[in-house]
Amino acid sequence: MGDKARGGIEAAGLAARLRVLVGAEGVIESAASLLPYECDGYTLERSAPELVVLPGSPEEVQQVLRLLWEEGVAFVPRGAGTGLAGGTLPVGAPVMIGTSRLRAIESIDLENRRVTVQSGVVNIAVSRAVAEAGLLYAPDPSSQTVCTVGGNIAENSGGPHTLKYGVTTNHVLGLEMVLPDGSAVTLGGSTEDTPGYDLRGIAIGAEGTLGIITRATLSLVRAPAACRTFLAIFDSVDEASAVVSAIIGAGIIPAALEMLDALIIQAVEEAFSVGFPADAGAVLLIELDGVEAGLAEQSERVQALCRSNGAREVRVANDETERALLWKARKRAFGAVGRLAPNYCTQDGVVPRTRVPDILRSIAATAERHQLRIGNVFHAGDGNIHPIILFDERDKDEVRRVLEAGREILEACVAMGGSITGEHGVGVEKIAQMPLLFSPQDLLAMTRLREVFDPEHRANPHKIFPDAKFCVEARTPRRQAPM
Amino acid sequence: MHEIPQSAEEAAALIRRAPAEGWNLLATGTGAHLATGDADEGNMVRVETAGFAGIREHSAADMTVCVGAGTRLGELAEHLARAGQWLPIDPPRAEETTIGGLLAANLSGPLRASQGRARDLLLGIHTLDGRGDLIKGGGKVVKNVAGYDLPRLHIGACGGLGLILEATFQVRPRPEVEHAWVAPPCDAESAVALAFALRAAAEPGWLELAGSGVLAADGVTVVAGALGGHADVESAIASWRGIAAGGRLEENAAALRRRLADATAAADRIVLKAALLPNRLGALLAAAAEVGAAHKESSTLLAQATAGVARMLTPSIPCALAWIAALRGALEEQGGSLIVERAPSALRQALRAQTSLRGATPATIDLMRGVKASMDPHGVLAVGRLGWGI
Repeated sequence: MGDKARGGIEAAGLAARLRVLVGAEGVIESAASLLPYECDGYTLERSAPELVVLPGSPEEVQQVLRLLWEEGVAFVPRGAGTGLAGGTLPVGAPVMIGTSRLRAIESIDLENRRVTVQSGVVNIAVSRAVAEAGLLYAPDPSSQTVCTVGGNIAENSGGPHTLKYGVTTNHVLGLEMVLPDGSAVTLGGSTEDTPGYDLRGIAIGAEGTLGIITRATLSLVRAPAACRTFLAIFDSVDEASAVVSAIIGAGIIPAALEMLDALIIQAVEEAFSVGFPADAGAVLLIELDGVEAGLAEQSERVQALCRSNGAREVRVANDETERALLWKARKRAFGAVGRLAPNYCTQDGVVPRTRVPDILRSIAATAERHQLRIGNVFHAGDGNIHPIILFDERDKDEVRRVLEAGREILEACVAMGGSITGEHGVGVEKIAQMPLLFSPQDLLAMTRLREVFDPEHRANPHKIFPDAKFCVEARTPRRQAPM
Repeated sequence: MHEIPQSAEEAAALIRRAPAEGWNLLATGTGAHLATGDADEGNMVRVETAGFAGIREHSAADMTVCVGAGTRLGELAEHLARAGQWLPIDPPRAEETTIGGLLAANLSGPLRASQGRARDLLLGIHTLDGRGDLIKGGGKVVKNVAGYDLPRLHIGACGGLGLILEATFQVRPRPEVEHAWVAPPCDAESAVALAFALRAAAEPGWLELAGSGVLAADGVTVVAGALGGHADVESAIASWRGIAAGGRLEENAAALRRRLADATAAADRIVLKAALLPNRLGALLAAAAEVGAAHKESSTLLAQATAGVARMLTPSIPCALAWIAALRGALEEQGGSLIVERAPSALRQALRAQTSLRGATPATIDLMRGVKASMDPHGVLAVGRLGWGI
């Protein structure tokens, strides 16, 4: 639906007409310049768009979409291209619309703790703009130094701090979206309560299939006054998992609870010599935050719980430098893994947090069955796992086994009551797994909803929902970006 | 007419019969919040959710709970408390509020200031759409971005997009202690300034403004609630004590909080709800008091300082109309709203004859109509309850 072959675009003189709307610098059409747009963080498949348009304002987005609507051309929205599920891969959509020039922070209202930004604003720029006032924008995906607010909204992004602070949808008051016909709508608003249906809730996490987000009003939270960071070392992932449950069972909600398993620990140690015992089975990074008053007692309790559940050692960060050191192991895990094998592929799945030991056992069994090495570094507090499968893409049989293993892991997540994606989205990558979670009727309900906004499937077609016409056949897993 | 289906299949059969019978179906729990709809419930066929009551699954260690739509919050709270947990949503008349009602009417209370509302805690939902088909959205885990976020669409939809069968929420540890600091009453503008100063000193668990007649005979009383560990609560109260001197410590703060929540839903009152930027609350409350001066004895003002929500209560239609005439236009112009949130049936019908209960038609009404038609194509689910004919 809505796709148009290259010939059609040329015949319509589309590039020239788009240049009139957005200026010469806003239209990219040479093959070499289009190369960076052929994939996002999901590099399994590549397909360059025929044109990239970079509108200079939300109003230009409307003009561009109106033109595409009249010409019957489908489009793909793109923020910074850090997505990990191929959400911005052009499939049956010749024109890509980037938000990289929509960089204005339009208003900052410190008293009411709100900011209004254009969708191409980088996530971290929001927090930086309000840091002096002691406020921050809570969602913090690991790509936050480059990823955009618009992309975060499209994916309903999370981050290491979602356990305590929630995900993107909990922090967006309103957004402006341009529908495929070029009309702009405001969903939600500047106030917390708006009359009518919560349409904003549907647009958030819709992966660009309803329109292009051009502006958003975000709510800010107070930056925590203090924090305490610990690193606990265990003999096994079961012990570390027991501590996760014990902490939460004690009524403590840490700001972050991240786990590294043996393979990752060894990789990190070999690469950076951070001082992990070679035989450690699991490492837990725990961060508490809040007001100073209660933190001392809470951190004592957390340390006690670690020790009583078998931690062989608990390291405490005494200052910001030591804190950075503890986080280094977590943040550098992906770099370290890069040294173990020519390629790696990161999965994203969710299980109820009490099933973390079970899913890790299941992943180990999968690894053994397929003769693969799989490491785990993940958000243990949320049950959001990120198995990293190591491989060599030149070994075609290994590649086949990697894909097979990835599918098995997601199936195991669903069987344990979880989900096929906690924060990366479905994109093109997980379309085939959607029926594991949803019935044909559930999927039909979602498709019908989509058609309220996008009756012709012009906005990011062939994403999220299984559709016979553009069945994606995975061949080479090469996604290496950290999350 | 009342129906009490005992299974999803029975409810689906009712929905499938509705077009031929000409039924407009309204799912109801205990009826505690029937006054919140736009179109009157008088001509609707009530589908009671008592057959879908009960706690389906509570995984304390996962901090999630799945409950039938007909379950009362009171029952759920008791169950969760045994595991040291709570679902931190505190609507008026919480004991008798059902899960379905909480979601359909998007009810909340003072705790929204720190704990969020249903949209922040709902993980998954099972509904029957207007075709009688079972539609599932979301899931049972705390993090999940697979597919469209259907659960949130049902929140505040007044039952018009689906009959809610069950819902899964994330729950939280119960705070060890909850205290409040009750400031001495003052004028509206000073009260809002004080509320902001209290928040700057220590992040409150809740922050309410109670107008004349609620806690004090005259003036606006700011109440800041602190919840959490003993040390955190003590430190918050100590900092507020320094800012709002002359106030008093309320150790039974949860009861006071419930009283303030319940005050927003007095059974015989018309309740207007304004949504606006929090720092405009002072001006709004002052204007509302002035407009309602002639009805001062029977009218009440309450507000939530961090949310930017004010409620004006009166038994008098002229007073309600005067508030709407004086305040709605300016609020809407500033991106806010003023709606009739609830009113007893007779008063609601009388009001509707003279004004729009929900205010200006939203600019996105076409999308809303489209969403309604996609999920309820035959128009059999609570048509007219949301407002603007849908």
